[in-house]
Amino acid sequence: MNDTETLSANKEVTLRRRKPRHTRRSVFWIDRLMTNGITFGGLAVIAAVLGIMVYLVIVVTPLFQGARMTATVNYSLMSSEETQKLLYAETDEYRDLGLYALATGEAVWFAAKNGRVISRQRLFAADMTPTSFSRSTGGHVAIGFADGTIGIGRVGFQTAFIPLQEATPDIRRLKSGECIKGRAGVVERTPTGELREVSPSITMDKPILVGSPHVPVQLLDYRVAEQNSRLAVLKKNGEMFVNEIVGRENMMTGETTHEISTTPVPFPPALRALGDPSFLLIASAGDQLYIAWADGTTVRYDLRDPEHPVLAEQIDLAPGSSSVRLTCLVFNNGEQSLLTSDSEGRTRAWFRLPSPSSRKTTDGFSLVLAHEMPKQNSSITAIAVSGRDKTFMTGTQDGRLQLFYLTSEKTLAETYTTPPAPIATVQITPKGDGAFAVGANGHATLLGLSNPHPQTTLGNIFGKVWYEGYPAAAFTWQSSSATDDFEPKFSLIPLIFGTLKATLYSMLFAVPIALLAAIYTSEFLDRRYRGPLKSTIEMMASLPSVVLGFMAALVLAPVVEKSVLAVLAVFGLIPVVILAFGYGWQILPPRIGLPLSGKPQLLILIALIVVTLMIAPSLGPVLGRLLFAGDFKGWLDGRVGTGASGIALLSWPVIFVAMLILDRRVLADHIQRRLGAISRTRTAALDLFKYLALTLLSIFLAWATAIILSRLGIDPRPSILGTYVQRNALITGFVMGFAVIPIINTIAEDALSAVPQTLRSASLGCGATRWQTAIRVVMPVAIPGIFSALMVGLGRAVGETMIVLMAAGNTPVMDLNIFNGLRTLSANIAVELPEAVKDGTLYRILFLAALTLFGLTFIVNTIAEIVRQRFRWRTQQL
Amino acid sequence: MSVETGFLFSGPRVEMPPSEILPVADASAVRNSRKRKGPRSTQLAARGEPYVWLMGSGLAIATLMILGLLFLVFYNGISTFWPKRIVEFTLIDGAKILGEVIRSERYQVSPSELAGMSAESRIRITASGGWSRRYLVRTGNYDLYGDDFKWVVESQIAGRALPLNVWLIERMEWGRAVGRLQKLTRDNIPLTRNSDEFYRIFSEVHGVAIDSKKKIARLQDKIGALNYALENSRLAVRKASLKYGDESTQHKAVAEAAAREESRLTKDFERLQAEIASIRSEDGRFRAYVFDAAGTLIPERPSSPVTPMLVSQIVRAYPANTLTLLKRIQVYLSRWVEFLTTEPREANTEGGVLPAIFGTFMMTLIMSLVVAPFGIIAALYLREYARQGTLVSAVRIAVNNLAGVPSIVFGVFGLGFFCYVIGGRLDMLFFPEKLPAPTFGTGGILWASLTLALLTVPVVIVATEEALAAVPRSMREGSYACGASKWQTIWRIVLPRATPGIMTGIILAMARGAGEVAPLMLTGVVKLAPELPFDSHFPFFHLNRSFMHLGFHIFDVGFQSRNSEAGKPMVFTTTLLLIALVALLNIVAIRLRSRLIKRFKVAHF
Repeated sequence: MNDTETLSANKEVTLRRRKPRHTRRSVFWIDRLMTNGITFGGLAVIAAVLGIMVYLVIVVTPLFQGARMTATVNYSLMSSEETQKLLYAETDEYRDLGLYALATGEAVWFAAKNGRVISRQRLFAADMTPTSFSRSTGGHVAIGFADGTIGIGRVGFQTAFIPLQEATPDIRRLKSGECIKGRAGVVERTPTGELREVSPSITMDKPILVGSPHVPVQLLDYRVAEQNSRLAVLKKNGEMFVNEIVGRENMMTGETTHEISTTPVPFPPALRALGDPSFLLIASAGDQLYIAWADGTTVRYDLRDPEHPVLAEQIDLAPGSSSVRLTCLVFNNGEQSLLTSDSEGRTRAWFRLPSPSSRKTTDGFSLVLAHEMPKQNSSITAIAVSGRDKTFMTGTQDGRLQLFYLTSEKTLAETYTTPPAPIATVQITPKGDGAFAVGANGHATLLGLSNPHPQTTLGNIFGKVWYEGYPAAAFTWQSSSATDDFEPKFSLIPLIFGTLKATLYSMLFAVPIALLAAIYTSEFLDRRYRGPLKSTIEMMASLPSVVLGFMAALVLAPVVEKSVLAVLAVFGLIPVVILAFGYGWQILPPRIGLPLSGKPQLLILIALIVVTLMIAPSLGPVLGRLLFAGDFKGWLDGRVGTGASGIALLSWPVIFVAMLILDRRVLADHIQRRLGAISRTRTAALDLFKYLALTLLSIFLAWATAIILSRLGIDPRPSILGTYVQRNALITGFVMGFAVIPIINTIAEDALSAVPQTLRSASLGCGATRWQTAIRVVMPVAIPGIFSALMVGLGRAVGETMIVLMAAGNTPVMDLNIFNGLRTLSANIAVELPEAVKDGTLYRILFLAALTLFGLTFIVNTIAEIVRQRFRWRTQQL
Repeated sequence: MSVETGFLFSGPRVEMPPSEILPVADASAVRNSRKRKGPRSTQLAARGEPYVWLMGSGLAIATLMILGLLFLVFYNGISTFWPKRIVEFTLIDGAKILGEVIRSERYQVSPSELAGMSAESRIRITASGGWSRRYLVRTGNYDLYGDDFKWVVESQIAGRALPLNVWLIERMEWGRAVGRLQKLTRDNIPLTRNSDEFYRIFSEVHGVAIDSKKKIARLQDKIGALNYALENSRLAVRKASLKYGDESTQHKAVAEAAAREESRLTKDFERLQAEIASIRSEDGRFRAYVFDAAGTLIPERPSSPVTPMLVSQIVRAYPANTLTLLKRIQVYLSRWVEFLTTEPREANTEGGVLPAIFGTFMMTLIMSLVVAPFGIIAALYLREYARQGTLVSAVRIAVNNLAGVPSIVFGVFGLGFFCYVIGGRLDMLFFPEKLPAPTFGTGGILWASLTLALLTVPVVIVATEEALAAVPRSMREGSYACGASKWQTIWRIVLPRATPGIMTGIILAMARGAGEVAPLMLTGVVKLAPELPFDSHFPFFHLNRSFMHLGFHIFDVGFQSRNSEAGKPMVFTTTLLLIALVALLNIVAIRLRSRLIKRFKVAHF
């Protein structure tokens, strides 16, 4: 801009003196306009491009914000006498209508927002004496009475929408979100403008008798599953029953009759001696039964064979000092694990897992302490489990409510009830967006919960997590499943592992080829052929990756699967054959050899490789018979053979390269000193012989190493080699080579070409050969450029999507096995993001995966770019 | 050249500028001194001949890889549509199989299979080390066999023949049929008994059927227009109700108009339906009796009662073994024409790829319309306007790096930001009557193009910057000296000189964009788009619509169709098309660039 100003200033000076033509005003205007426009536009484009990362961060952030408790409402709900007899209290899913039930048989319905009583109903006749009570998800209650009978039924809410014309004027005047007492329940206007009424619904069936009459029911548990319900009953006299109930509704009277099949469960005297148990739990699948005493002693029955209940194990669920009391015992959502809390403020989760050999139980399972929440200062008096995920809420003696997430052991949110009082009962509302608690002083607390991503912590995403049903903590990715109570598992580690694995194998294949080709092109190839070959390689770079993926998965994979060993043989054979040919070539007198180097050399090479490719298929079976008893796949599965052959296969390339280095560094000089001057042809023949001998030696050494190592108990199965899967890392690595080779090659070649010609001339002038010049002069200068080429290639391999999506099998496993599949971050995004709900946890996790990829490639590329700029500056100095 | 010189100075002959030849000429002096001092064998090792060969093999492998791949795609893509002969295999157990031989392969016979063979073939196979040969035969008749392909094992074959009256019939549904044509009928009366006349008669009858098919297509287009109008009037009612309220007079007026419109459209609709039905019943009179190898009638559809197939349901049919070369070429070309100009059928495994070609083309076009101005403006700013310093070079590094950020990340951004944030906002503002069904709030061609534009903008920026930098400073200074303003200099002097470079950048960006699939999968590509993003309804360009894409077509047909083997030929041709498109763009770019490099010799590493 300064230029322009001085220019126009100068111009004005000259203009005034001579008084000739004026520069048109529009020229200045347009100039200024364009300056501002381009500056603004340029900055905007750059900002937009850089804004990608900002946007990704914005989407990801809510994952780590935990839960929030909002809109707390406090009111006095009941008298303290009533609190003494409180069975439970809850609200409906919209938090409009509440209910509390008392041991007197009264059910009181109230407006949940302010506690105003709407109506009172009875659950059972006033003359009955309840001795035990159970309530499970869906409002299913069971009440055990002193006369030995049990009343079961459903106490819940029903929702209906009121047509506008039937609404009273009061209701019509409601604004969005406001509630009012309706005919039977509470009416609210929804945000979409409809009128929704939640009203009470009680259906109690006639009491049924289980076991001996007139023996009070001590404990019971009643759960309703999809097909049938289970009722576990423990009576005062030690009788225990598990009942399967199938309800039948009489079409005429509308009454429900129950068909009960009862199985007695033994309750041995040894257990009865422990005193009266405090908790009884039955799983709704009917396979597990738990009885617990206040001191923590718990017994578990295995009911998988309904005819023969088995006492499976006895365990202390409140370990520690003898004064610790077990205060709550509930199933976690999904009934896969147990939640316990004790009088010292601990909350623990116990998983039922196949038991280790050290602790044998009769059914082969045992309860294992899997998670322990942060300890509270006072006794925990109530636990409520969310019906949607693995969150739960505890209430304490000193009136504190805390929200936890089981698998992350994280406290999501906490609050005190006011005035603080021991929490008598707590509930997480069915939609998981609210909680309701009643204290021992009769005060109720209604909370809104905003808990969109309960399970995501950095620890959960990047660390090992112990999920329900898993034997130990592990890195797991499994975002969806057929069952409802499934807990999504969002560890990015298997995906990052897969990404690195795909990158590793593709770089192992691509780097040697790309670099060798680059050095050859820039240092040895005739200039005339450089252009066409360069554009061929650039063609390779422009191949759409979907084409490569298709070729890999549908053309290559089936072929490779049939002859894995032949493919491996090709990888080994090509360098050996080429080197042998090169040594052989030296024997030729230069008169013949020299004119052929150049284009013929390339053609000879291509022919040589094609011949090797044709030999290899017949070599595969030979290799298989020699090393792997003719069944390579069986060997990979571990069915035949020993680890030795695998070690030989893996160690040979290393040993071969080591031998070559040894030859050049030590052996060559040594032999030459011994022999003194001999003719060229004889030297060349000696070299060829030496090379062949070393190759054979390397095979022998590899075999020796293999035998020694396998004696030491080392077996490459199943780690780096293992069961063969059709779409695997080998295929992916090979085809990804098509994408990576041209990038590395082009940049590396540019770097080599950028080395000043003067250096080469000087070196050659000093009598160095082209080989020496290339290796000792050009390469050291170009190393930074080559490094940056590798980095850029790495970046491309890390982010490649379509190839891995199609060729890698997409199994999120952490397995180094080159013959197994993998799932990369990028393929994972492509597979799962189209199905992810907007702003859901999976959606944000996938954004996090994208951010991770972005960060990874950005770092790699920045390093490459900085190194390259330094390199450019350095070569300019030379 | 003497032996010694060649021996010392290894490798290919290198043509060097005169200044560089000097050291080489001097080398002979060096060689002489060496010769005196040390033994020759050192020099042999110093040449590293075997390692030079090894390096050469890197280049050879890379070249071979790319050429092999291109050849594979080209060969398969070109040969897919060639009408092959149909072979009739007679197996040892008497069963007959008709079909085109797709390929043959050697395979290891499993012991159980070997046990079930005749003694003779068992001995033969055992002698060859347990290997045998088998043929993959495309039998067609998916409706009868439940598969399009069958493996025929060499040892099971008793005889093979090329029967004369065997037809290959491509049907609208159920893929190909292969069988003997027994008779062609009109109203159950055979048109001819002479099998030599079948091809002529069939061509006549089929020509008529194709004409009526075109008629039906035209009528269906009209029905489509009616539906569109109907939908529009419904949306108008909803819009009025949202804007003025349910009980307002405006809403009532719109509703009445819509009701009138609806009754009128329904009448039209019924008339068109009746017309289509009459054409169809006329078509229904012509049927072809085709029997498969086992003598089963190939039915119109796999349901009872069995009726012979309708001529109108046939896309193309020919007697595969009696076709003359000219006719073969005709069939081959007509298949290419069908492939390039029609819509896909049969879950994309048959028919053409016109919508995919159109989608790819239109998306690339929109993308380049967006990317070109923005890329050039950003580059102009960076190179001509911004004060060069640390900040600008940091920005430059960042922009360079973005070219290396995985494309899927851009896809994620496109989905989140363009589709959901911007698209959702647009829907709320302009299309509230369609909610909750999204208009712009979901994947579409506009969002896909914008995403790709974002992906390729670094390419354009870098190329444009290079082109701008290549314009000599003296030209700018000359322009300023003549009194031109900065913008005049850029517009009249700099940009024209930089145009080839900028064009190269844009074409490279287009090539990259046309080949990308991953981000599109998130931002609006679908396996089958019922409507093109461009049609005869106002406003003609429907940028919110999802679209088909050649690259995604490859992925979809190769991976998600019922029978990936049946789709494979289709995938190869699609691949050929896509590679050709991308290669064409690249070659143009490379040519432009080499011309540019010739004009302004500036090293750009």
